[in-house]
Amino acid sequence: MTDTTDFRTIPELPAPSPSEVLRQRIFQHRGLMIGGGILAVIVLGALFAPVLAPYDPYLQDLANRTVPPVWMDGGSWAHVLGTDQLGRDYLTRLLYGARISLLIGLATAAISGVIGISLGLIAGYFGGRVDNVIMFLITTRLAMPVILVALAVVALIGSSLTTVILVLGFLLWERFALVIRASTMRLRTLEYVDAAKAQGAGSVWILIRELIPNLANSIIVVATLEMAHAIILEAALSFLGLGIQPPLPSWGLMVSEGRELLLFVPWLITIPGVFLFLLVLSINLVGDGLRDVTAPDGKN
Amino acid sequence: MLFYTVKRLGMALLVAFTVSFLTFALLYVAGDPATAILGPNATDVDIAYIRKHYGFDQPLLVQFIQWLGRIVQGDLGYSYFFQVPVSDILLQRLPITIQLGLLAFSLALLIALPLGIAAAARPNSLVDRLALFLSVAGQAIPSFWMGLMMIVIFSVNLGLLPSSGNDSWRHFILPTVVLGYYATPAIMRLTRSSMLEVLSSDYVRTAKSKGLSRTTVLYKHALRNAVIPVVSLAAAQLGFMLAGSVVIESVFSLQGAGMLAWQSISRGDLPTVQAIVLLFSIAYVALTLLADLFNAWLDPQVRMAQ
Amino acid sequence: MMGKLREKRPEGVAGRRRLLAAGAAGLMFISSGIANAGKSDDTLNIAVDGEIATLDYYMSSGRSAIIMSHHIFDTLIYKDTQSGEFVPALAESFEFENETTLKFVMRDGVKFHDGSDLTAEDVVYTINKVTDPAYGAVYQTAIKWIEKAEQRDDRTVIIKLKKAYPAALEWVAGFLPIYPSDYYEKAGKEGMALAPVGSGPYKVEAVEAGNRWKLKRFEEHYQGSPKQASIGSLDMRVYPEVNTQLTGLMTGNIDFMWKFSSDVAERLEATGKVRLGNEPIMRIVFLALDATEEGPVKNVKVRQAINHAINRDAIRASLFGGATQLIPTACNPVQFGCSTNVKTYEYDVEKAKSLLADAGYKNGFELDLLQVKSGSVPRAFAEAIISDLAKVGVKVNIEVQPWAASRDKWSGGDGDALLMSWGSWGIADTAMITSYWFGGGKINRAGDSDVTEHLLLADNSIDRKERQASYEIALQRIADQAYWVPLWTYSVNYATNPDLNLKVDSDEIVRFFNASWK
Repeated sequence: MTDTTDFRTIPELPAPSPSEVLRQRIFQHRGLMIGGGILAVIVLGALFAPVLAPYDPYLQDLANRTVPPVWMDGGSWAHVLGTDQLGRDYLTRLLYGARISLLIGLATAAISGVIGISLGLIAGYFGGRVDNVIMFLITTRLAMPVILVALAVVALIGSSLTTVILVLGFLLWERFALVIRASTMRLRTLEYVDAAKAQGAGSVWILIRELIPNLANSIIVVATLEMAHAIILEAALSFLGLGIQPPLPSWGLMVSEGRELLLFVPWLITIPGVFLFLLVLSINLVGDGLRDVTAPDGKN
Repeated sequence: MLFYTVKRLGMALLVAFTVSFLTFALLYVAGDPATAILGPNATDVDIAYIRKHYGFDQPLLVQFIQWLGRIVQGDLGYSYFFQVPVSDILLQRLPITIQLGLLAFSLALLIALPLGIAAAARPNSLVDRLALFLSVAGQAIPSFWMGLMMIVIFSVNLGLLPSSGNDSWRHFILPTVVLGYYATPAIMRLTRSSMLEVLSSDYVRTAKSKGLSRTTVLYKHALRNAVIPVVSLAAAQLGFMLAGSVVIESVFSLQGAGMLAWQSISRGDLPTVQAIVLLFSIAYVALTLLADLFNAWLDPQVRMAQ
Repeated sequence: MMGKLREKRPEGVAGRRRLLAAGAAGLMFISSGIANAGKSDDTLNIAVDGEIATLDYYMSSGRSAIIMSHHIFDTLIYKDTQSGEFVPALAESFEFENETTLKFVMRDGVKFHDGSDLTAEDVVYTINKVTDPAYGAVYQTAIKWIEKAEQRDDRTVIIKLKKAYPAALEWVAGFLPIYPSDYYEKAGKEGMALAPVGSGPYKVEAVEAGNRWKLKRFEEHYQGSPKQASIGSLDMRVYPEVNTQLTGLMTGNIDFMWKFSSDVAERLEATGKVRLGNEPIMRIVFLALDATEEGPVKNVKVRQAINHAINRDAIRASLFGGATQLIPTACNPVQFGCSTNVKTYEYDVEKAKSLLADAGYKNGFELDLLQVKSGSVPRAFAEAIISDLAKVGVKVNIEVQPWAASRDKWSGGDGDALLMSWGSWGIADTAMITSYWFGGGKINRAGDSDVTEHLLLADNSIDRKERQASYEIALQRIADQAYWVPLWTYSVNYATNPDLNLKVDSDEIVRFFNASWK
């Protein structure tokens, strides 16, 4: 990224500085602004859940089960979004559930990022046989049905938050690898890599010092996509009973728990589903927006 | 073309081989298959007998080769749960999954291709924005949740469609829509961007400058070239959809291979799980192979580039 | 236990073709339009909630398989659900010749579904076959009392008991269906699994393994049978999820479903569209604790603390309601020998905490809980228990699996606790539950030989007083040692098409042959 101070130090420059262009693009990009806004609200809600949440997410109140949300008949301000089948406050569980979704998204993207970026860099930088082997790994990984393999592995080693993160992290690296590989191939031919080589830098050093900062944009974009992907997959695993285990308030699990009364109390699944949708939508909007605003010729 | 075909086929076989080994190893290391077969009341003598009988006492690699040898002959193993060959069960379940997959795939293409082309033809138009909105929203809706909401709306509130089972074509409408919608955004996005790229390429500009009509340019020249990346993606998406049927089938209680896989996982019926994972993987490999060959036939440059 | 090995495949190519045809038929199914149901086409559409692995009854476990067997097969005698008396069935008469010899005189003119005659030979063949350890019958309890069967003359069969065993007739009446020896020899386990032949009031017409079974009334079912079918066809299908059952019921595609929660029952009743029933059955719900493997739960104080920590009555009242009742002991109080004169543990969080502190777990511990996936053990209920345990510092890791998988795990030494329900095969005798869970075998995770001894003594005595006394000693020790947290009796919710006469019997068998249209 470019140094952000230059537009202040050289104010008389006729054209806007790159960072100013970037800033403008960001604020003019509607998708990015909407997505960023929603995401910020969810992240803040998750971070400050203990302060914001009116109740304890695990506190059961068997006398007040499936109380409807405030806008429905029988709802009350005591439970704005109602209570679940065990009388736990839905809003509270949703706030805490956001933590789980975000944690899953970030941790999975981190693990798969490390694996995918390493493989992509190696393949793109060295090319030839090394590239062939890594492409083979990527093809093999793509051929394995993610959700089935994840279900089977989680079932075999026992489901927990950690297991879900690890399994997804080890399954979702191929997009990182493909994108980084392509970008590395392109960057490799550029001058500064040659320059670094000419100065006698070792391969590893070149890879790390020169390439990674230049790949940051692609990495962030893929990371947002994989975060969204991981959050949806966790919800699906939890929904099928092989993800996060109760009483943790995972949103997918909440949908799964509300499912028994789907026909009679549909808001039990509507509400967590809408939250899940908003979270994934906002992450995707942010990812798409970042790609747009950092694209070289500023399309869209 | 022949050289390319052979080379590509070799690659596909190698991937299929690796995937089958991974599947085998992954599930094998997870538990002792002898106790899984015998159940809890087995004696040590029984277990020893089963180990020897099934060859579980052999090294992993030897067992894998034997397993592969049986697979090649069409023997997918013996279900611990049903106590019949896995292939017997799969023959009943696969048609449902394949049918669902193909229906959903057709639906996805029917929505994604026209919308993608229309969007590319007039960037930033209303159609383009609608397409973008659909694709962004589509990627964010969890398919299991969408399925449940469709049940609430169309089966319960409106009473229009059945919510579960596979008795008639009407039972397939909701699952098809949900699974198809899941695959639509990716195909549409790629169709759009690929069309845009081709439309701005030199030869299309040349064609335009020669005075060819817009429609001719769009359909005769651009489409043929733009379709190449889309074919690859569509093939891959069909492969993913087979696996995605795990979730959809469980939402709509369709007794297909996906549902069977999920149930077999919770039953610890490893041979069935192995067989399904393997079949889905091989379907993916075969589909992408076909797409690549098709593309190579469509465009000689693909052959050269490889 | 070699039994589960494949004996032979369905005959080669022909078998394959048949299966391909079945697959193709599956495809046709979809295009052939709407299969509607109920009274108009004399088909009873049944939502099967549990799994039926194979129709080879002795190799299957679970309630659904038992119910299925009552329709496809016949037993030597029959237990009348009204009077509770044993009445003749395949055998026209029966008697105990002495304590260890049961004599049956066979009825004439009984046909199997394939047209062959059911004879004394078939009875001897079946019993000797399934009691052979190599066969590997799933419920050893149902057969392990049998020494052997032998034929005395053309029409007389003797079952030799290993020793005196008061519950023998219960097993013969409900759980010893008779197979056709010729067909079994020919078709083997796989044949029996997919295309069984019996002599029951319904014959199997089509099978989609693990999913759907179509049964048709067997018109040559023998005269004088206590099982006389009225409805022409049964279409039994697995609907693994309650909503699909409910929508099916409300749209008229399903005529019978059961084992849903009282939350659902209340709301279903409000729709007024279906007929609801609730029947107290032999089943009880309990939490079994492990006392064999190293870990906190091995300590009796910890197990007692868990007993004190669970607010059983609050959970029962709000999640189950109905006719359920709390139980203090490891059996259903209506069962013979089920003493309630045992130590009880009231809900007391402070006491639980101090017991845990005494045991050295002041800061709690982690507990691995296996939960059996079943309608009688809903997940909300497991969560309520988890929440109660969390209040005393016990952090629960839960694993939900179907019965067969949970049983294997529990028997294999996994898990610290098992949350499930047990139906005692619908038999009102403590032997069917306490002796199963605390007798020999790996399922017994109490590992208390004292308890086991008393139970064995009671099981094999024919003196009722002695039996009662022995069961009481065992049950008292189980309560003292807190091997279980006994929870409550279960009463089953069911719902039917309003045009249907059908009830669930208190032995938890649904006798669809007794059903009729209004």
